[in-house]
Amino acid sequence: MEKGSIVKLKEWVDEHPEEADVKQINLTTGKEFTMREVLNEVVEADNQGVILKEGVVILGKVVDKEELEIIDNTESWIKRI
Amino acid sequence: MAYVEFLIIRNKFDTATEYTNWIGAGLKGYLESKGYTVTDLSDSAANPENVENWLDINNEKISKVVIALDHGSNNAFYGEKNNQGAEVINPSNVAKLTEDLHVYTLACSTNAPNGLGQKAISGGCYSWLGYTEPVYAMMHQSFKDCIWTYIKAMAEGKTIEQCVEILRKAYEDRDAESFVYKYNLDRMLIRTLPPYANMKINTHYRTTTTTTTTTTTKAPKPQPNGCKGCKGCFIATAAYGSPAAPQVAFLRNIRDNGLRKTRMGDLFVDTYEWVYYKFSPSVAAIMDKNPHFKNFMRKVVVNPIVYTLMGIFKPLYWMKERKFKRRKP
Repeated sequence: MEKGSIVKLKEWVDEHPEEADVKQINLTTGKEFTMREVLNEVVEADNQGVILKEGVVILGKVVDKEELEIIDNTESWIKRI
Repeated sequence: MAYVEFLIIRNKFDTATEYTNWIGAGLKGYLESKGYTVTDLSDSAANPENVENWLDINNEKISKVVIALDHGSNNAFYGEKNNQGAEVINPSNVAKLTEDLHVYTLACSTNAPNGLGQKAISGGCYSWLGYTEPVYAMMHQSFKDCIWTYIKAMAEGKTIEQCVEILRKAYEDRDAESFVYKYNLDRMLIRTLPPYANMKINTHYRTTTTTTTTTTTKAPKPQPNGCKGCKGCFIATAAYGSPAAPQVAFLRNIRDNGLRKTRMGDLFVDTYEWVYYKFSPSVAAIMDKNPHFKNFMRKVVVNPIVYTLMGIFKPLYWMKERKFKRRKP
């Protein structure tokens, strides 16, 4: 995720603490997430200078395809709103 | 309104269905408060047998709506069996089970190209709202409210076209809450039998005769505010308590075997039904709730009409029959 998008997502999470913790799920893959979790992952990847891709370990979790899709969708969304 | 039955399918056997099950919680109470009859198949009750039994019941008096909150794919909609997903609607039974009803699925991919929704419509399902790809759900009241907008709009008697617009707007209004809303909206698709305009959940009765074989025969085409082939007479049915009452059967017989057989009669019935179906469901619903009004309507309105028509048409039928018999060698 681009630095500008990370900043914008952090602002959104700070402004919407309740919504940031809402559990969401992809009904086919069963992948659950919250916006706060997505933010934590992208911030951690940015701090470590790691490029987010399949197989990378962030916050003790292996990043998978479904996770990358969620991050991509979040970035498109945060840029739009 | 009392003539529409809802089926809610919301199993719960994995994390995803915990979300969809929760979205459907409370829906039964809401729809019942609006005067509808509701079957809520939750958790293990959402098994293929229960779903098929409900869908397979042929009742000419009733319009049916299915709300499916569950797992789906382009070739199946899932229920639950032995705490696992089990196909309940698939290409081999979709035409038979969804003919002449309305379907709303919050499930992945049921409306994909050449998928289940498309097959349902080509088999005579009136409307199928679903998604063309996998979608997301949220464990949040705002998401639940969004999904319910379509159902509430149907229950309030809005046209399917209006219901879709209401759901579309609900998704758009929540765009700032999560990417999920626009993501789902971009994959949402309504398929209907033509004509789309003015179609409501209580516009048509189920008129199909279900059989054990799969059929792809099209249902009678819906007409705005009424339809050819609809077997219902709301007020007479409410007055006599059953669509099988001899008086109701007599009225149906005049319409289908008398008036509908001539061009002028057909035109007359079309015009009459266009007007009649605008007010009769509401009147029938009041009659169902108020026995005094029902009694009044039967004695003062329906009986005089029915017996006058019997006085006119029965001798005509009798004469026609005699003439026909005399001609026989």
